[in-house]
Amino acid sequence: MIEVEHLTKTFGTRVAIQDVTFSAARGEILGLLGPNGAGKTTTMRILTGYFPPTSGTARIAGYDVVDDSLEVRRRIGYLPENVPLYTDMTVHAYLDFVARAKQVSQRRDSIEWAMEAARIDHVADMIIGKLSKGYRQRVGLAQALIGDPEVLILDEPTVGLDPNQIIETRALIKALGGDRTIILSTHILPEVSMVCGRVVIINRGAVVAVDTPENLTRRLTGADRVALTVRGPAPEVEKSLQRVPGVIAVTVNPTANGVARFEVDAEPGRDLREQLAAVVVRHGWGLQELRSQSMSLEEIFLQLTTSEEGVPAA
Amino acid sequence: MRGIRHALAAISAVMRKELYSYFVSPMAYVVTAVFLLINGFIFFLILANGFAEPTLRPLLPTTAFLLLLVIPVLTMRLLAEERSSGTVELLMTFPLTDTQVVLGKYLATMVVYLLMLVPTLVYVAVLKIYGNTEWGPLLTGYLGLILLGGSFVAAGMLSSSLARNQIVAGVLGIGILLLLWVLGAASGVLGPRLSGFLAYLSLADHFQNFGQGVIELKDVVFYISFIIGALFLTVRVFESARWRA
Repeated sequence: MIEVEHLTKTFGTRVAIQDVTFSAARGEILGLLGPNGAGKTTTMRILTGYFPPTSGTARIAGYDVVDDSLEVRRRIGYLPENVPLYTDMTVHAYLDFVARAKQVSQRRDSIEWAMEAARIDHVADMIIGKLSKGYRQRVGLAQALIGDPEVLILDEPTVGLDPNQIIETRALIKALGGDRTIILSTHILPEVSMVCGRVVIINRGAVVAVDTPENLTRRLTGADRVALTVRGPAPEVEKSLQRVPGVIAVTVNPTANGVARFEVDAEPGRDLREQLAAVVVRHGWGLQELRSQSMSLEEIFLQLTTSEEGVPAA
Repeated sequence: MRGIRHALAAISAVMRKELYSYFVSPMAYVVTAVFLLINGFIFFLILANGFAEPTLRPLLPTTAFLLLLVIPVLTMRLLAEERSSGTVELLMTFPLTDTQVVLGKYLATMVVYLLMLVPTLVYVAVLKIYGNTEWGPLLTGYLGLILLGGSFVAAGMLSSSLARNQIVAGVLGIGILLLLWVLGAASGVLGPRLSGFLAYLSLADHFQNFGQGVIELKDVVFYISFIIGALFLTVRVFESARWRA
């Protein structure tokens, strides 16, 4: 349904995203996960046809986002990050404009359905400028739902909502999946595991990992491979490391002056860093470096585990 | 056929939205009130001075100049606000072409402008009742006002597409129009060839004939080309926002 290939976007000399590739099948809920400024919004803006990529291609429902922009735009509902709405209009008047702009055939039914889904039917006659941030977010969501598009692109759909609204919105997004394809971005890790079937992790403009939330969590928390730099007799160090419980294999790369680099593969899900360090130190060898090989992912993970106070897991 | 219907529906969607915004904000009312007040006062002065000819002709240059000042105020937010508030992001991801957006906004402003002219029909009534004015010059006068106003709106939209800040867009619009207004004054200074060309570009010179009850094809063609040209440039500038984003 959505195919993104080697997408790159530069603004002047600044590279916003580089060689981003992923795809989403029909009915899939795909999460774009990454710290702020990682390139999530840029990716979504290219998908929605707001601006073209510098290179690479993206297709939605088989239509190229640059060459068949209008066909793409007929099939998507888009909730931008800051929810830019016409603040002088009432909610209903605004949704009516959106329905006309999208040339929806059953205008009244479509507006009513979208307002009910986003739970804003009771503020239909309020002026958007007078609504709270949470309500504006929901009006933005209703706007994306007008015409029941087959693809929904939601940029940070739960930002600015209170805990209850977050739970409601996540439930709504889950319910909307199924026959609709949804891409949503977030910088909150728990959100992804609650809502998405698959996750694309983006950091500094590049895709770092694509996987299911379960696999990612496993990969992120477990240090499957540990690299050590040790000063000492290489064969003996290797033997001692082998004996640590949970170690599957050890590879040695000798360097100069009696210093060697070891790569230790551990059983999946086991973090052996502390045991390995203890062994080296007990033998009186010099432990110069020890790090988990999946560190780059872990660093992102640390940035992503934004605590969500007061939001119980739904 | 279906394509045309779609395009018209798209233009009318934008137009309706823009009319809505005009009528809920005080700007259109204030602009109309200021225009009618000053224009009405000038009309009163002309009548009170016992002008020999009971026509609109002495009033028209003042009306035109007033429009030059107030129309850019009406148009200044049209595109600048979309960009400064970020609403352009959604607008550009709706299935609307940039031309449809610009035309929709243009037509909405033209509706507001025509509504602004409606109360001036009172002058026509006064002239008809108290003098025996002929219909000809009145009708051509209004045709001239519509073409002239249409050009002002188009130029105002162009300046609104160029600036992100509404105020800048407004000042720019008035500036552009004033410059085009006074171009005719350059004749005689710059030699016959160049000054003739500049006079042709002058918005004011083409307006004169309409007041006398004469419709010259070259004047009509001038205004219509001016409108199309300015709108074309507006679409181009608006489009380019995608590449500069």
